[in-house]
Amino acid sequence: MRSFSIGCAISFAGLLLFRCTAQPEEVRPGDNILSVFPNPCYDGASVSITNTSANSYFVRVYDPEGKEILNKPVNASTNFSVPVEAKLVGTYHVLVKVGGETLETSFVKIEK
Amino acid sequence: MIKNIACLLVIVASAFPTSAQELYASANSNFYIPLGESAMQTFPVIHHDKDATPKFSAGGFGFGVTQFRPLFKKVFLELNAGLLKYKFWNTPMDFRDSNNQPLGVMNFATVNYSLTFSGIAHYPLTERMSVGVGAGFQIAVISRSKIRDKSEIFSRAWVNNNHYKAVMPVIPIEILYRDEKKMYYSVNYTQAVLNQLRGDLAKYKSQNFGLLSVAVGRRIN
Repeated sequence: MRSFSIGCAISFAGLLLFRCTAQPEEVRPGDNILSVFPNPCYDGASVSITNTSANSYFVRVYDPEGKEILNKPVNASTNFSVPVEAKLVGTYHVLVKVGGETLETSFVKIEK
Repeated sequence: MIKNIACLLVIVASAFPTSAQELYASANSNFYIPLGESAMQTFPVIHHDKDATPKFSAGGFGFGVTQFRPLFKKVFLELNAGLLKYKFWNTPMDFRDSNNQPLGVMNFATVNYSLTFSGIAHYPLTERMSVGVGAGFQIAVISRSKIRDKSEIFSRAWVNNNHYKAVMPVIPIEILYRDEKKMYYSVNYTQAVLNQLRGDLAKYKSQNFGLLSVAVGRRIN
């Protein structure tokens, strides 16, 4: 019983002190960089991909209930707008397929 | 909502046969272990952030009722019903202004409340210690994320996460110790069986979790 309690206490102490730190990722030439702005947003956001040599990419956007609200190819030379004015408040997931790579990010719609 | 949940727990507890030999009230502290989403992190029992209000925030915990009853020969059954709060660091979010200029990457916590029900078959290793494996399910009550903006364009906002499945089958494994003073202590690992995401999103993205919990129970009958 004593060793069992000590084991639990050690595990507990380790997790008690645990804290995550986000590490910035290295960006190499040719890496696609996906961003959504503004984030958070009130009525709409734009999807942007930079550092890419691709002519087009494919965008999928999912609302806070996991429902697909957008699914279409986009010209890489322009930012793509995602209107969410009449949609749910919450976290939206964005998946972008560019070349053979799938990029992922999310943005938040908040109440005004 | 809390009143309804409390009523449900009382109903579940009262549904246990009155001939039950051992009925316990239990409490636990738990750690959500995200699987399939590398950017998510486990939240500690107590987290301190000098820039946040409040400075200290608690991690996962839960409470409920537990019953032990004989199953066959040495094997006995543990039935659990409870309310669980679990908390984790969600995928950091890249905040940007309307000109696509970065405002900072923010770590934010997500809090899920679930009703949990499980049955675990235990095999005794010694007179008081046993190991068990079982099955159960969790019913999602609410999931919320607290978004705080470092640039203070807005101060703070809670957003609901509705992209999680309402019911999640789980498989718990457990080490249990029951003492002679009407107490029990357990270490439990519960694995979610399915993709936690729902809807169209689940076709393209997978997210799963394990829950590590340390529980203590006090006999009430």
